[in-house]
Amino acid sequence: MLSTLRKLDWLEWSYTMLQKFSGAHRAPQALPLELDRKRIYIVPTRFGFFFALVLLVLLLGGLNYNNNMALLYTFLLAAVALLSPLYTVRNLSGLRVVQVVAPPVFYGEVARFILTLQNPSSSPRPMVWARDKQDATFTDIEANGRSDVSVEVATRRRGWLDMPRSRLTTTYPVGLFYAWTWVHPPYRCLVYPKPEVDAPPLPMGGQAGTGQPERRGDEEWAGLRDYQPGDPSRLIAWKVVARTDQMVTKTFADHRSQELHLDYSQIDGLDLERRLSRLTRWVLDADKARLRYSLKLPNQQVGPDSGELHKHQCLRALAEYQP
Amino acid sequence: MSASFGRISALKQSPDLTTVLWLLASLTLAVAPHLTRLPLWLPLVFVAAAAERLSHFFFRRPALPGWLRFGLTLACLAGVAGSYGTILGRQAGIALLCVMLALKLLETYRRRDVYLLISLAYFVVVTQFLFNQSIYMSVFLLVTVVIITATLIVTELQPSRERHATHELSGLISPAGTLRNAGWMLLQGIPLMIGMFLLFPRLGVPLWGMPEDALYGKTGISDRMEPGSIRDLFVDDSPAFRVVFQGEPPDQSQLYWRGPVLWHFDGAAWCREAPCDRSDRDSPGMIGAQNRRRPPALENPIRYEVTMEASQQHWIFALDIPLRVPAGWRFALERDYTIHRRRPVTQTTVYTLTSDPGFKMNTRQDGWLRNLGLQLPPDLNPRTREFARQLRETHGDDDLAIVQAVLSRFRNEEYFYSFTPPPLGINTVDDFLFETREGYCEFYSSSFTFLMRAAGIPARVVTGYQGGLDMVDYTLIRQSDAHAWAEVWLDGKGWTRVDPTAAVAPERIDRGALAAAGGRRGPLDFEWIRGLRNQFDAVHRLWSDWVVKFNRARQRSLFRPLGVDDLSARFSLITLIVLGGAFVAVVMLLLLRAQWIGGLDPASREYARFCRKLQRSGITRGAAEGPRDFASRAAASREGLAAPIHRITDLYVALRFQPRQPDHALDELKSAVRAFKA
Repeated sequence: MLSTLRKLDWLEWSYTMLQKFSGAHRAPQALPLELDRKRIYIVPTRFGFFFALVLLVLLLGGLNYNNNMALLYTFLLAAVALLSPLYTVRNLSGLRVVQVVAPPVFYGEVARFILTLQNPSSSPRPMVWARDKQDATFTDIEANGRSDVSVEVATRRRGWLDMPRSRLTTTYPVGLFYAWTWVHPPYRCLVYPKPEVDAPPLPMGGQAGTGQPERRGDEEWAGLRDYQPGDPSRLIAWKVVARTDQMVTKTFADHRSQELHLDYSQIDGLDLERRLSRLTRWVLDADKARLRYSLKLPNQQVGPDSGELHKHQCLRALAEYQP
Repeated sequence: MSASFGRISALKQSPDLTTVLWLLASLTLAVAPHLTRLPLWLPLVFVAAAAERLSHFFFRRPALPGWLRFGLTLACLAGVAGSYGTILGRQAGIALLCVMLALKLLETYRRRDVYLLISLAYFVVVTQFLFNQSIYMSVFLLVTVVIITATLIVTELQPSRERHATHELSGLISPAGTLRNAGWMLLQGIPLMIGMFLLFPRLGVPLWGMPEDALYGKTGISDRMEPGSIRDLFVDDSPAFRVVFQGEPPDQSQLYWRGPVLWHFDGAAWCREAPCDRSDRDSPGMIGAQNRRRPPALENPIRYEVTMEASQQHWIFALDIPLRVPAGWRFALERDYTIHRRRPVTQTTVYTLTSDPGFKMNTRQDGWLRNLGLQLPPDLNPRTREFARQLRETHGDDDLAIVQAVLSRFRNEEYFYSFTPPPLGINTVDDFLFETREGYCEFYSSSFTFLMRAAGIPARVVTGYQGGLDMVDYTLIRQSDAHAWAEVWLDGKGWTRVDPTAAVAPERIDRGALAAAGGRRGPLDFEWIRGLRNQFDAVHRLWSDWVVKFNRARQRSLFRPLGVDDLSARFSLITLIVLGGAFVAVVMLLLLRAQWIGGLDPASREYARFCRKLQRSGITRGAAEGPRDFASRAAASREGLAAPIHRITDLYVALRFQPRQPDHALDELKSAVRAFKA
């Protein structure tokens, strides 16, 4: 009943009521964004309402018995309760959002918008929460210091994910009031396609039609790996299978051209998203194997190249691809 | 990267050790003043619960199973019922509250449990005021409230504490920082509290009745006198009542404060009427009220206002002999000049009385009262009866001579005034008069009255207070001024006061009971301590006048000089809202101003000071003017100051815009700005 922060559904009503006043209609704000006192909203928490009830009981008792000490005491608590929202608002007021960083994530992971909050005042600002509807994180910002909080959003598809309108909230110092302000900086997070699980091996040899590397005379023995469904039977190392009871496939590497061509059009029989998913896996695998590779989508070609930047360019192309 | 964020899961965790320790401190302080009133087992339950809760932090133990907690709850309920005979009523209610606190402690798993406990702690604190409204208790409880409020802040900061396990955040998390914040919040609340206290509409009549034992406290003099009852009061320096005389206060020896007159003696105890163990004292009794149709003419009236502390008794104290009591049905002046109040004095009460020390009571004998004044317990004290018979034989019909003979016996023979007399047997009067001959007012008045009755003279015991401490603008009567004397009916004079104690120890009347006993009452009883205590009584009186006794009437009289004749509830609420709103606005301004000023970093603050200095000499920095442009402009107009202006600007710009400045750079800027004279 008194939990203030976990289940805030009941507050949604007041949010809806206040939404039209509360900056929801405003365009996204540019950085640095200062938390203006006029845009900080405040409502009592459940504990706040319960405390009001306690005060009411004390007041009635004090009035009835004309017990002046009880009344003084009640009024003192009431005064603290009335002043506490000022402290709560002050804990947010004047903070600045100076930077937002959103590292790219894969579809299925949680996207994090990391807000750097700067406290230009000489009083520390403990327990500042950032939350959207799903999750919340908090931070404490030292006097004249800065600190990060993240707004976390579940990814629902690949591509660009706009930072949702989020709340910076606090109930400091006594938990009687809940203050919040809306932040909506124009930032977005790149969501890569989800890498395919149990994808076929890399399409070595330049023509990635079926995704199976062909054996050719100029290829050299490159080792064994676990069998994956779809490996041609002539590549299975039967001797090893007989000895160990494990299905193992022989692999060969092309030393003449280590350039790998990942081509969207060469993957057959899958829908768009699964193709992108497989390509994402291959890009990651190729990068891991430190290969030079290129990515060819119907509308663009990336590479050939290698390295971190190239990987991100490829993944970004995959994330953004629209047929 | 994400590892540095505090997660919401912190809130799902149960309170940490720090929170629980603060909580325990709060609860202990809140319950502590009740300890003397609680059954002995209850604090033990509390301590056991606290130990159980703390043990979770040191040993990984599962929580107590639900059936065990339920069983404990039943056992504690039964315990309270067994200790008090009920679970209703005030004392039992508070005990129940304490039991609830202890048992709730066992299941404090989540933050909302902590909030519930804190709310209960706030509530327990207020119950203390039912028993004690003194300054000391208020100060103690204020400290308690600071700590409870600090516990709220500690609870709020728990996730932060867990995140910064290794370092502290700007002293906010430290106990001292938390206490400072809580104290500061309460301090800021005090003006608002005073405003609400003065303005909040008060009830003229209670909404619901008082619980039977709602106001339990000191009793002082009652309508029953038995061996030792007054002696207990001698060591009690707390005020019984305060008196403000209209005009000169009478002489000390005239200050007999008349309380209940005791008619019936059962051999051990004196009481107002038979039988002595009667308990329904709410009724006025059979003595009955005076015939008020013809109030006596007053020759030498003394008017005064009495402020009486709560006594839980029906008896009102008045200067001998009270003749005019407040009109209305609540006060009754009875036929023996005892003032009876319809309702017991359950809170500090103010009343105005008129007395005339020279008044003669009942000069015409009232046969019924005369018989009442001759009652004696059968068969007891044969030696005294024999002595009375001898007195009557010696003096014949001269009652006055008998009285004087007895007084001179007390005065001239070996009788002593003492607080620690030897014990008496069944024949108390015999033993006292002829054997021990040692005692205090109770013994003398009781024996004297018995002796008079045995001699056939109507007599009665009067209890009350004697004396009073002159506090310049009022007279203080303490419980230790309790006294008992006698009245005898003499032909032509009516009921006449005789104080046999004065015959033995005249200084009792002149200088108080303590002087008469000739010594200290305890190890710490020194003159200067008593002086200090008496001075402190003035503070207590202010407290009592303005805090404890404040009521609707005083509220009205407070606002009358401001032109508010009829203080309606609506008026006070509106005023309260307006003033309270203004106060909140002022606090908000102060808080935010601190932010605006404090909002600048230290270097900017110094630079702003520097700009203000220049502004006073007529050089104002433009809104969009950079520091360097401003410096050259200022230096151009004040050539003599070019060097310091540039130096300050360079220091400021370096501090502000270049990273990693040496620590002393700020100090240099500070001293340069301070030394700067535009």
